[in-house]
Amino acid sequence: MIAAACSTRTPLIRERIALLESFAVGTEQNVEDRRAYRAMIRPHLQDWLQDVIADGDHGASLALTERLMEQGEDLGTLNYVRARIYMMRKAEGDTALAEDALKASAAAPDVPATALRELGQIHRARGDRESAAANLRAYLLADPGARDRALVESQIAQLKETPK
Amino acid sequence: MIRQTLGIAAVAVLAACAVTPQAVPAGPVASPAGFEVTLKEPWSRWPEQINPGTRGEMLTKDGLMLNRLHLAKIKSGEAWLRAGKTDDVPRYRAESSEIETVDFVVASLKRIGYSEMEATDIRPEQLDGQAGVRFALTGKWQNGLDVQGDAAFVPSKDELKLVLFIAPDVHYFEASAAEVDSIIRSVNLP
Repeated sequence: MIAAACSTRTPLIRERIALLESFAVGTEQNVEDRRAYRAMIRPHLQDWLQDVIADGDHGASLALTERLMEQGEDLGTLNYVRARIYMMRKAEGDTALAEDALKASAAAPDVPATALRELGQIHRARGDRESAAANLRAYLLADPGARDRALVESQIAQLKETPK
Repeated sequence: MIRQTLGIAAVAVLAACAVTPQAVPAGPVASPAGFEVTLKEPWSRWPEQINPGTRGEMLTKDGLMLNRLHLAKIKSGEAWLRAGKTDDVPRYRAESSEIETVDFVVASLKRIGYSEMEATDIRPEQLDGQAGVRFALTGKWQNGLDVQGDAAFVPSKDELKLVLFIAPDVHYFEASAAEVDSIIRSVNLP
């Protein structure tokens, strides 16, 4: 009895799956809609992503930025966010990954000023004085009202001094 | 032996229960955080045992909600907040840049009831001849009251030495701002 019921139900389930799949095929996102949506959320993208990475799930945060990068937009912001994730995770090799992401961010038109500062700080910690000073100067040029202007100016002055 | 151990434990528990705020006269104050500051006026001291949110003691003039001065030391890998070793809380790292350390302090404050906290005017500050960082704070207490702060830290011997003052924007911050400035400048490191 039960076996007979199952055998009658199985084709029905298959039909339902086929029907659902046909719906899924029909819901492919319109590229223009996706662009319009990205344009709407762009002013908030960095803050939202930084809230996500503050939750500490670094793997999920990296996967999210990777998906968002597939559209080829906002690469300055997204690479900066990736660098922040690596800098928070601090696993072996993460400083190099953060530096690569910051360089990619710096090459994009939407580079956040803070990406230049972080790049400068990595070079400063490594003792690469010229590059560190250049990036910190670029940071202050990009954000003249930076909240840490006095601190960064003093770091640039120290980097200019001859090492003892 | 067991009776003796129980007796010692009971004395220890009673001693902890007996911790209360104490009056601190003007003059030099040695903090358990491992540095000294000089007060111009009398304050009250709230020892670490009765500080529920953060490690280190607090000084206050009018009550903790009206003005509080945190004096703390934080070892690398540890939190300023009271938390277990595996708790997901902001932790100080000796290798962090100055701005990351500022962000660590701000993130910690956000976990103990402050919101919209922001550090501004981040600048270098010599504390007892050592290179430190000073910054201002703005934000809100959990009841919506605007607050302001003045903070300074110096990395010293693999520890962060932190002095942080926070008070409501209305009256209380300005009322103590000049004295707090002199307290921060008076930091005497070992």
